[in-house]
Amino acid sequence: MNVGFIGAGNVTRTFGRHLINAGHRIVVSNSRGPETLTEFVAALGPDATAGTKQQAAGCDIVILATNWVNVPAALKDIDWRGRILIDATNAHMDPEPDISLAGVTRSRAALKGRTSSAIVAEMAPGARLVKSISTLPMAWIQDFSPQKPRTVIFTSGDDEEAKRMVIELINSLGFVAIDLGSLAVGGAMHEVGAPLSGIDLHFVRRLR
Amino acid sequence: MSCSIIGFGAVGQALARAFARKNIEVAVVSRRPPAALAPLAREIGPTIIPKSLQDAVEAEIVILAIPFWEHQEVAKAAASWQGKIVIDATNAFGVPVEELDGLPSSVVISRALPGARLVKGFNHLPAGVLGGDPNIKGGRRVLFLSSDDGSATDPVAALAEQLGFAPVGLGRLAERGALVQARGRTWTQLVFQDLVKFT
Repeated sequence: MNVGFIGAGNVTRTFGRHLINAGHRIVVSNSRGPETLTEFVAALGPDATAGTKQQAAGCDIVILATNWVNVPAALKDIDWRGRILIDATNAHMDPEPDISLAGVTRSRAALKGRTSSAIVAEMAPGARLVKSISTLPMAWIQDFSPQKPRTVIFTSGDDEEAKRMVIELINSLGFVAIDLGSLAVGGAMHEVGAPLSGIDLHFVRRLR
Repeated sequence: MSCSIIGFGAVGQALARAFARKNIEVAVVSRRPPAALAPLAREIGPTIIPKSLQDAVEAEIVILAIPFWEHQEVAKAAASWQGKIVIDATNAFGVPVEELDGLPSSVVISRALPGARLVKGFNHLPAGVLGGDPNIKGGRRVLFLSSDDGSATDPVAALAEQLGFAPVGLGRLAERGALVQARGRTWTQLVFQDLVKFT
């Protein structure tokens, strides 16, 4: 599968490598243009290419992986209708995410009771939005061996088919995507400061 | 806090094994008289104490490990449920949603026990797994807790930790708690997920 990234930070470096190891190809974009990404994609190997934001958005699945403050700019100037978009962001209000309890509390208050994915959906009209990947620090998935633990990656979305494709993609990497339902119910449980965010869970088995 | 397990079938026995593993005292009850439970209780461990239903519901934390509808019988056993913490480990699988007035089964139980502070938990794993060692490769087996009484979750989470599990509080029964319940003839997403928590 071709997977596009908007944003070229830690999430893209880590998840991009997992994707490539599983046989997928990725297109990486950022706000400064593909020429600034030469080294970034070279480090990931020949299955990673640098592209424009529009090229990344043209992939089968697009992953939004920028800091929250950059989300409006990142989503601008793309026709999102019909595109599968994974919201991998965390709604930290500061340019440098403040993950202290005080910082998280402040960030959550700024959402004024809305879910962060509802805000993303509003900025990407027509996108088939799936919230995923966002809830765990990338430090927890730096094992790239086939023996890596089956880390749980909570996933939610209102478009069942898009969500199923994202779940299959994540499972193809050796992780275990668990469907929490809609963005409003499930998504709210695995965004910043919510009970299923920032907990390192490994899948043992599904018992039935 | 004093604890009792109502129901000494597969789930009740699995819970008793979890208490015995950590040498925590717990009363156990079934329809049979306490003396009839004694041999099995002794085999599980010295901290497992068979009692009558009337004595067992005196505990500060009462765990329901019974078929769903039997909560109606248990409800009559206590003079008052006011302030008592009740852990609902039942699953109303196969109970038509109409018979529950469309409510989550735990809400139905909560209404039958006026004043009780109900927490749903210990319900998402089969007995064979629930009774096994919750320490897995250095992580702890996850238990999902949900409740409409936010502060009731704390002592239940503390008990779960004493037993060696990793409690994860989800929120209210009807909303987020709905992810880990039986509804009609379906099981929702988090039921049967055997997960282990590391940090």
